[in-house]
Amino acid sequence: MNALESDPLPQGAGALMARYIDGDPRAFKQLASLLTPRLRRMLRRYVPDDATLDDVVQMTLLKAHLARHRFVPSGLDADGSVRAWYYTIGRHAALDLARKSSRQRAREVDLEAAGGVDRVLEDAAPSPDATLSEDEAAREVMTRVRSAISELPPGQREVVELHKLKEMTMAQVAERLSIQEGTARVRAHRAYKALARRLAGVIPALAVALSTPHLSGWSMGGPS
Amino acid sequence: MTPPESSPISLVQGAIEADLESLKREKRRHFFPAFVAWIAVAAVVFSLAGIRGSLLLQPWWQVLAQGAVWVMCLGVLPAIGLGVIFPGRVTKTLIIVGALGLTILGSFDWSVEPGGSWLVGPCFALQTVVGVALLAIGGWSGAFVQRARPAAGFWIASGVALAALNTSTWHCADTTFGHVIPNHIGGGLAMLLCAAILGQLLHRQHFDE
Repeated sequence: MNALESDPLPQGAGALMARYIDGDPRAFKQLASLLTPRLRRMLRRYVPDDATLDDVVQMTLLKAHLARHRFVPSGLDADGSVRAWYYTIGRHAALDLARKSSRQRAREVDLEAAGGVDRVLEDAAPSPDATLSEDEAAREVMTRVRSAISELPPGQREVVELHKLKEMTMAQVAERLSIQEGTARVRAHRAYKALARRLAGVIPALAVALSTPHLSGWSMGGPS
Repeated sequence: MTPPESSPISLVQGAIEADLESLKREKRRHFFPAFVAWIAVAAVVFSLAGIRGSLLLQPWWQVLAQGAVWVMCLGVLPAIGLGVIFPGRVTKTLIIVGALGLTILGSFDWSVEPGGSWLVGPCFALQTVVGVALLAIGGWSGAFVQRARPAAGFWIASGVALAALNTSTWHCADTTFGHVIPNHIGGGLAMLLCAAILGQLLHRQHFDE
């Protein structure tokens, strides 16, 4: 039995997808809550660690969002089409990330073999414009994310910094700040909603940044 | 298991939801001039053709029903067709039934015996003029191609037809069954049919490109 057969979406996912494509945020929210756990289960076979898995799921949702107008339900099984579409995007995102990571590792090995950074920089041809612009876009997003975090009220900012940047659990955050865990969760929820609002305009750039592993120090899935 | 609200993935979900909200705001801004133009068409027609003197002599509930039909045809129905609001299935059914019921309630003088000429007259022509103007504004502004599902165009078409019909209701003092059915209701149905066909053609043309 393959992943598609073993983990079906409940009936109505096709209708939710149609409403999401038409621009309904509530439909997207419902659809994402159905898809995210299934995507995580399916992608686990390609991605070993949780942090990277989070990145790939985020990447999948973003890529699907940017390409949503190209979704065409096939045949009579609209729910199955949604699942197949997201799974395909998810698999491609996982494989892209794996390829990029392996290229990066290969570059690091080449660098060591060639006698260090300075030597390689002397010999290297100028970087392709595409890579430059991709990096610039990712850096721009990082700057905007940092700026958005810095604009949060102090209580919310502390929670985000401890939870995201220091990778603490909510219980640890609550203990550190001497507040109830529920309070920490509420602050985190408000902070993430505020961040989402402020970062709404950078969706395409966010996708580029997420797909650029060597710049993902700000990565929401696992800070380096 | 779904990720908790504060999970890393929820940030991306939130960003996508915010993106969809901003698209809705953009859509509202884009269609505001078309909405104003629809109201302007009705205002121009009333200033040229006149509002019937007996408008406020009707029972209060009938005036209220006609007002509600204006709200439906100028606001609610186009908003659904454009994808600015997304009511659930039950609410949509209630809106359709409500719009039909209010139109019927507001169109006839229920205190008189059924009668009238049963001939198509100037009211049909007036409705056609209003309907064509509204349809042109709708088509030109891109109202029929805002949603992926072709059926969404029927909401816009219904708005056009009801607005045309309600213009007749506020202009024409003849509220007998024999006049209202062929002229007002008949004109509204004809406009609904034309608007729906045009909407489907525009939708097909847009999405086939």
